Amino acid sequence: MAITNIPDEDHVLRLVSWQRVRKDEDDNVTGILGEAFRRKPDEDALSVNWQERVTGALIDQLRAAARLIRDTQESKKIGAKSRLARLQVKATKEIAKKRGAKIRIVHEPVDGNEPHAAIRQLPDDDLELLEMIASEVVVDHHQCGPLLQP
Amino acid sequence: MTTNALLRPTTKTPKFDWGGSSDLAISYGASAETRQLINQVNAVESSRSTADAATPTAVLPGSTKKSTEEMLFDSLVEAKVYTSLVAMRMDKEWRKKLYRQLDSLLDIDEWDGEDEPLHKESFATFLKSMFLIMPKRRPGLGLSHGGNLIGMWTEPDSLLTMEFLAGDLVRLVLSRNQNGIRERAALDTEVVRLLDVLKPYSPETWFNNGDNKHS
Repeated sequence: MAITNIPDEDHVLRLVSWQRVRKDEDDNVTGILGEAFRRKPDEDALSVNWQERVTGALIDQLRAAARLIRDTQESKKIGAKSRLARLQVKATKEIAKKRGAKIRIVHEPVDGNEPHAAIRQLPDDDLELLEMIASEVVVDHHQCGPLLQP
Repeated sequence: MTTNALLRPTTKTPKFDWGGSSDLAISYGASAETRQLINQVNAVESSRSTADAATPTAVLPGSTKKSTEEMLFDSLVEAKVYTSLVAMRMDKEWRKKLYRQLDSLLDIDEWDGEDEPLHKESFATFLKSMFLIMPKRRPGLGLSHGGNLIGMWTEPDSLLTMEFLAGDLVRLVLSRNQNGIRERAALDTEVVRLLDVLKPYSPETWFNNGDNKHS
């Protein structure tokens, strides 16, 4: 299958577990940690979902992404306090470019999750870049619990 | 400072000695009480390692690997035992809050099965860092994929993130607006150097919620 670049004006959604949510000492959420954009040791690309691949209002796109991601997890669950962080493709590429990284954001469907996408060539060791993505590129973030309610 | 200067530890750094009237300890401005607290954590760390080494680890025939739930429970208990052994020196409210934060962080319902549970060596580095900084405003807590505790402070225009590594190492990432100029830094340092490294960035903004205890 041909690799499709996701249009610059579109967005991708990254599942951020509760451990990578930025919070204060009372667990009030204040943002997303840069660590949320670091690949796991066995990942060759950062796993995300293409928001606009699903038609409808933002809330419908978020609900769809939360369900698709949950259903393709080995455990078939995602934490109620985890969040979906929304990033614009263009802004993500531009901030990476400023740091000398040429990343690609591509549509990579997987079984059970057609809108699945990947951020490729994002350097894991540039902690400043990961923090910049978390604090400057993330447009907003949404708690998964309410999105998964029937 | 940039990530070019970020050095990943390749060997375990020896624990620093805070004892007696060492010039090193004095040069970093640590009080006798702080030195005592940090030495206490070192002693706990050392005794826990000895206890681990003495525990038979042979896997009996038919036994299986620990479940995620068991691993999380064990790591939570380990962290709380560590804390309890130095608890007499901690503010009661802080201790209660820390337990609550750990419960929340290691909650099985929020757990990503591919993560490693909290490493006790990371937790020891965290405690030593907190005893050194003694922040009036304590950090929010997170966890890296690899099981290192992450401490974070957030202000409207500035962020400080510390990843606590084994061997008294701390990985810092910070950004702040200094007189209209956005400054960022990422580097690895040791617990003893934390306050000196942070000094140019007015850490009181994060640690004291505006007052100038550490300035």
